Amino acid sequence: METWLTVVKAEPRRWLNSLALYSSLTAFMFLVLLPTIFLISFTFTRWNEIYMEIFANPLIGNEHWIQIQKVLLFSFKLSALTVLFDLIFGIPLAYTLSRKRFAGKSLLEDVVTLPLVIPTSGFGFATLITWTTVAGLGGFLGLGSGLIHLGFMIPVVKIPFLMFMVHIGLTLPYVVLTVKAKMEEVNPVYETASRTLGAPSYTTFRKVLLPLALPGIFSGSVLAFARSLGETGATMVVSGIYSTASIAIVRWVFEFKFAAASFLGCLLILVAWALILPVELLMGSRLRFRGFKELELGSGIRRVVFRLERTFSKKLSVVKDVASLSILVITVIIPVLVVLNSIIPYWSRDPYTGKAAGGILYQLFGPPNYFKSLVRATVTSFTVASTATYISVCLAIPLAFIIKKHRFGGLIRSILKIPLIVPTSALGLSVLLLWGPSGLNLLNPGVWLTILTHVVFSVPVIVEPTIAAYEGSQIALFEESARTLGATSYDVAETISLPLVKRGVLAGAVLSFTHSLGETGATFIVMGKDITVPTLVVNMVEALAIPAALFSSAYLIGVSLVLLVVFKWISK
Amino acid sequence: MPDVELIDVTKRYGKVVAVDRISLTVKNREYVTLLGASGCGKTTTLRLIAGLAEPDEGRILIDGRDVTKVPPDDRGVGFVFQNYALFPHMDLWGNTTYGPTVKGWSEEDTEKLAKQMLEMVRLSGREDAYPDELSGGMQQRAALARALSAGTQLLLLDEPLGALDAKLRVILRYELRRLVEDLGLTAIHVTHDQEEAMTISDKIVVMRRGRIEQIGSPEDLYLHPKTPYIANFIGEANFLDGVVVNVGRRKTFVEVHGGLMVMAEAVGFKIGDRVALAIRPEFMKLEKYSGSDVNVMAGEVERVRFTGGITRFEVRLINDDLIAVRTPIESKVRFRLGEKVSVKLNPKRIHVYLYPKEGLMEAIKVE
Repeated sequence: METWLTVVKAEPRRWLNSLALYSSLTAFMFLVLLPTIFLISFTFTRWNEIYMEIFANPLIGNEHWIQIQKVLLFSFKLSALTVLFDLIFGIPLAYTLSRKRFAGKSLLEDVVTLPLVIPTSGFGFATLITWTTVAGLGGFLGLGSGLIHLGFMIPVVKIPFLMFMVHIGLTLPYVVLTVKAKMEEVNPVYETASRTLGAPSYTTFRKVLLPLALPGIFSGSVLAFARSLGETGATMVVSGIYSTASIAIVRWVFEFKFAAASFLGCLLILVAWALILPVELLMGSRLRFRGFKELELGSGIRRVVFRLERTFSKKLSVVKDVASLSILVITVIIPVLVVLNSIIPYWSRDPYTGKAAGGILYQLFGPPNYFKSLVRATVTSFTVASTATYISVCLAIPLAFIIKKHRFGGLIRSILKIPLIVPTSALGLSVLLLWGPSGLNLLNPGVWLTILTHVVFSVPVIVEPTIAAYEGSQIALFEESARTLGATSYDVAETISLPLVKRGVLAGAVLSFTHSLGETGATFIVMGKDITVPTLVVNMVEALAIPAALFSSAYLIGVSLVLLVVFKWISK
Repeated sequence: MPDVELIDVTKRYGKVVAVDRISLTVKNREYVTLLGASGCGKTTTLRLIAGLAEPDEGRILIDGRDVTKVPPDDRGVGFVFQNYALFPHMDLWGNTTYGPTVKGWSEEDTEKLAKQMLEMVRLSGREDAYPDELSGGMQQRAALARALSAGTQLLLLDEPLGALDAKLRVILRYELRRLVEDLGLTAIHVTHDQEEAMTISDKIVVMRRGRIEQIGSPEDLYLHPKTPYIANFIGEANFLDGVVVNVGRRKTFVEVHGGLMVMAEAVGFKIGDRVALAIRPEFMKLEKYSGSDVNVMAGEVERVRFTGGITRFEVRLINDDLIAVRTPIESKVRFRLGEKVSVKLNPKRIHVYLYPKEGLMEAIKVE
């Protein structure tokens, strides 16, 4: 102890420095990194058990393996198509938002951002009643039923229509907002230069802005893909008989098929990484522009393309705006309006059958007594969201500074991307297996385990805007000038750095709060008896308590609208 | 061949009038500079000509064709941007062939033209280089080659040398002028550097607050500045204020405050007019002290600055005004600090203006 004390006395500042550094890193390891990768190590360490269960089950043979392949393939098909659609409609929208000025632009941005803050099960339910019930589009068009059936498949690609709608609605903001941010970074002078060199606007877009915005397009696609792959809440509500990989994990956990669930989760994580990490690495390299060469077209075809583009530039530029807008209207605006609009007719009785048992009041306060569960779930949800956000902020701020100031910061930053691309139900399973009864046995499923799970994905959500704020406000310069004025590094952190990144931290905190509030996939697995509002909505739908689900969805949408206003106010 | 004509062109951004009823003619093969301080509307004018902005009023004609509503890609102008705007994701060859390619020209023409232009700007052999691998001067020349290979006869340059080191700026200035001459182009060049404008242009358009202050050859502007602003902005000028006390057939007598008498070869003033006089430091002579007389003002040397070929003296006149005098270094008589001197004026080189309503300082303010 003698030496330890001498060090503290001799160089208290350095000692404190390392203490802060190592405690932050330890917390990061245990709260973020370990839960993220535990599922993989779990699968490998228990390989024999898992092999027996999945490939050589004495009762059902390799039925589990067949199921796993099926849901994985289906999930990847769904996510890939979703991203494709997101790109087709999202890029023109991002372009309009980044380059044009028009009335209602900020409202449009809000509508684009809305699916990020709506708890997904509420959103899923909104989509469900919009398309399949008489309260939605069907009734609006004068049909006596819903517009389509729950099981309606899109021909050729064989994907349930509702699932597709939900996935587009929920992932479009990732593409639009990321691409828009990247396009705003690209100096418009390149486009101007292209115009003066004789290129019409479409050609300019294709040859100049698109390649320059490519990193944004890639990372937006990665986020959208990961989101779609991991989406659980809304998908469960609209899934009917179909199952994605994420849902399968949740269902298998409920059926105590831990082996199958963890193997599927592990595969999902590995395949997601295999698809996403190369893109991330490519983005990080300095050769990103040069790696991209335009397809060499024959000069004849090229001339036709240019002529077409010239015509399009002049006559059809409205078409793309209308197309992108209508996808927003169909996937986001109409469902939200339908839910809000259905509250009143369903208030006291089912408007179509006239039965009071089909009304919101009966279901909330009558024998089903959903009101009590809703209140309880609200308390749980807000407790989880605020506690998880608070813990994450405490962890994210030192991490952001470590990332900016230490040479291994870049590594931490890349590691922090992993929780964002891990499907949340796999993450939930990982946390359950790590902390839960079959692992370290520290916590049982319940509110605390939920909080620990949410911390894993909340930390990166807060770190990124904090770093962005740090980089965006030339803090390094101000810090240096504060040091030359005699401030110690602690003074600097307190008086310069923290106040300047405050907005970034707050914006991240609001985002993480909304994420946490709306999270379903992981929560289902770790919550035990402490049900949150979004999972309650799923349960209501599965119990066919439609009016109660309607009310809860509207309630969730209302809360998220408030959060959106808060988010806008903070990130302004 | 490209004549450019602006007729009563106005451009507003919200409440700010960036360009205020400008009329301007640029003749074929002329090298014209739009000169002014930042915010004077010169770049906006250039952007209006290129079609990057649309005027609120007035018309723009290129080569006799009304292009007021024509988009930039159909105007056939070459534009060199301030920071070059070379496409960062294309190499030099990609940049240079961009114009002909997007216009759908044949590959032979494209290659021939691009090669020729790269040779012209001495960048042959660097076709594979990306913009960030080229030096500032090379980037500048690359931007020029790119603009020219789009096949234009009208070159618009927005502060094309502004981002370069002082020495390089001077070298490239002459290179640019020669190139434009060799290729028989018409050029409109925007700059805030009056020395650059003086050395490079056939004609200078001095702009201020969205309007044209004066158009003329460099010599013209220097020798016959129409306003106190021009006298101050082009070169250097001392300002004295006074009252007209007598007028002759081609002369105007002005009593400068403090009792000094100045006779200028200028007409159009009446007795009693309040006037401002502008006199360039290089058109005054420093002599041994001989008291004051008409066009001779006594004073005391307050500061001496040696600036190479020329020595600059600041003299405190007996009326307490401070004026600058520049004398060539080979001048035989030397003056010391604090020495009493007489400053002699050349009546042909005194510019007389009615005293500006907004005040002299405001009238000559370079913002």
